[in-house]
Amino acid sequence: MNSKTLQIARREYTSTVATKGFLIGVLIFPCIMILAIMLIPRLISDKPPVVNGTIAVIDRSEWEGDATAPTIPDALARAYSPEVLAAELRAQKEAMRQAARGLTPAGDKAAEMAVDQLLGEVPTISIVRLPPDADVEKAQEALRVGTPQSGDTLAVVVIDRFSVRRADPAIPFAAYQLFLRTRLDDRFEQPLKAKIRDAIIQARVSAAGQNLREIRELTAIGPVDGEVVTPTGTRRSTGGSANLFLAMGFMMLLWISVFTGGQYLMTTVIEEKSSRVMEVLLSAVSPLQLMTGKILGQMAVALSIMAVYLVIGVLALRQFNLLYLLDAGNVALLMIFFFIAFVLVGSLMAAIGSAVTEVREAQALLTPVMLILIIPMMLWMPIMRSPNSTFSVVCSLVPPISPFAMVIRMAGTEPIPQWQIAASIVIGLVSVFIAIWATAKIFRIGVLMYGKPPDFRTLLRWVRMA
Amino acid sequence: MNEAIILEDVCKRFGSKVAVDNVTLQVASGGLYGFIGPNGAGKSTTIRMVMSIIFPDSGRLSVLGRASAVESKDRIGYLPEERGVYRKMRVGAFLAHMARLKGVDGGPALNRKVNDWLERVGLGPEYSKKCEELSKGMQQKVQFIACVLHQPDLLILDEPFSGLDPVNTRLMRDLFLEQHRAGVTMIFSTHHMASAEALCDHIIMIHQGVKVLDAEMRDIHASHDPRRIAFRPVDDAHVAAAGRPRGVHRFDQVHQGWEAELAPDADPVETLREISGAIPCTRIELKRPTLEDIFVDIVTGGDFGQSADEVRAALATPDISADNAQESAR
Repeated sequence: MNSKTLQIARREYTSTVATKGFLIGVLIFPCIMILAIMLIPRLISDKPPVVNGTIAVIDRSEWEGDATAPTIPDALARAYSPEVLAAELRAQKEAMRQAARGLTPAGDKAAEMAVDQLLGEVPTISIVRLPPDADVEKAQEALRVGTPQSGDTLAVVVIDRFSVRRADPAIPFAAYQLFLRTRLDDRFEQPLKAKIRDAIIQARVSAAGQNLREIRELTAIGPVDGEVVTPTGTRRSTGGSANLFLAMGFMMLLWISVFTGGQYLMTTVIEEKSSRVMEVLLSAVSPLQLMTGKILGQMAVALSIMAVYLVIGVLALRQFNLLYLLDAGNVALLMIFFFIAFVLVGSLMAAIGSAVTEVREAQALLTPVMLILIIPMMLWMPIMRSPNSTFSVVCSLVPPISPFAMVIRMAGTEPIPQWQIAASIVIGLVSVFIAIWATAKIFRIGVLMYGKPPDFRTLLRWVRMA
Repeated sequence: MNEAIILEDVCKRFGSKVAVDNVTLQVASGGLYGFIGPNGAGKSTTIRMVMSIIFPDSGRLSVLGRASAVESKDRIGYLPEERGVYRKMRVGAFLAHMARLKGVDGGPALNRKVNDWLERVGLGPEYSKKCEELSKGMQQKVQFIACVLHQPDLLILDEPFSGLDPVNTRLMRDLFLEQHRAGVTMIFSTHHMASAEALCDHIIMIHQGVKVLDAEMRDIHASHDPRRIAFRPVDDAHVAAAGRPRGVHRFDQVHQGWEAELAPDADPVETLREISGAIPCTRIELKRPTLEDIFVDIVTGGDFGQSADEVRAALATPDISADNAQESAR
């Protein structure tokens, strides 16, 4: 490490970072994310139109109703009365607020709006009873005209004759037929089915001489929050999904920064070759100094990218009260694995850049590299789910995917053996030395070579040659 | 330190192709050397070995008293044949960067120096322009500044005039000579023999990786007697009428007039008199062989198996980079 290497690194860093392309490329993603979180719920103010219409019911069940269970059309009419609908909506909002507890700050306007958005407004729906012998075909005709908002027929429900009482206990109950109009709001069909289901069950229970309320009470269990016991106390369980995001986040952080830096490294080497500034540089510095300087400079670029994302990530975690998920030890290890991953990928990219004259020619050499490095992206789920499976262990020990796999494992749910982390680091560092050694050889031959781009076999020959 | 560069039995091969074959040479300190030969002769390869950009397969070399240029790079200025600039970098920043890579301390002193040099070559206003905005001639000047900013003791220029117009060629030549007068050892590599002949004190010729000539310019002229007499007759008919004067081997009609090839034992001055006596001329002169003629002589006389026309054709080929030669060797 001397002043020339540092000068190369300094130029590499400033000429990469101080460009519009870099600032836009690196900052646009977080900016869009922040905008999306902050603004989009406010922007989408046009809520879906309120549903307004009738549901035609043809009741062939011959259930005439009793003290505990009204007829099915009556039950539906009660379920669609404005008071009941309004109460339901309130309950749903409360439930959502409960679910989001701890994830969004109290009184968050955006979250409130999202809930409203999800649930929509109270619809105005009335039930029209058709005679049991009404023609279903004719009733369906009404679905073909009008709009979902104009008070026309929205659905035709035909309750089957054997839906409440059956002729023979050996035969299963029948149910109902449902005909819907086109272009209905998707929040209409599911509640309708639930309400019909409730009405039929109510009738069946009553017809069988049972007490519905008793059955409901017997089969209900209230919501339970799991609590995680940590050395410092207990906290509510998030069901592991936050961990999942964290592992994904760590991996993406590593991936994006390493690849952005690696790409820059490759393109600047190619640029130095194609603009013929390479030999001018080599008159002042050795190929190894040049390569080391460039890798260092781009590593600083990648670190800057990572710092930007890390800060945004920490702010986001704090916003959602999930900061406890971050572990200082894990972040330190992330840095070590970043170093290994960057030098491995970066030197590969530098070698490829040095061997070709144009970015276009690099694609052929780049494809196999990308195919290998996409593996952790594709397999983060199985690795995350079972961090100690043989597959995960192997992935986290084999460079160049080991740093990525290890980072996923570390953020996973199971603790992983310390020796494996150590082994992964040692193997990683050894491969870092091998990569630099091999790349230096390819680099030295490649940088002065113009013309036909070499294939991988040729590159290997260069490694053996010099 | 008397010798700036010493090469002893240096060999370099690319695959099966021998690029430099047992070359031994010395470059004296303060000299102005021409390093000439056709494209692909091994000039750039030799220079790259001197610069420690590539390393010889065998043989020994020393540059400015060190075993390799790795230790003396900061004292050498090198203008490679394949040269360029960082297109997006500003001229001043580029020059400062190059100087710092050559071990010059940064700071205001360096910026002043960069500015002074730019002023001297008439590029003062271009200090904060991007390199890509400069014309090719301007870029060449910037590159030249990049190789002299650190005040080197040895300056190696590989095809420095390629792509320059006559005005800039003259300007660059003046700058080179100024460095030479300041005591800098200079090596000037080119396939264009006439420019080497006009500039250099000492010529090293290389052909197919082998050194074929290594001598002072004045010794070359002294040892290669003129063997041709150029003349322009008043009337072409006089030539035919003159038959074959004594000492003349044969007459050739050339582009502007005629040339007489001397018989092997003829005295040039005597023959000149004979011709001017036999043919009325508007102009007649002893024609000194050019460096190119000498080169063709040497090559056709050696065991390279090339005819004079083949060699002249090789000298006239437009620039193909030495890298292509390496490429085909792979």
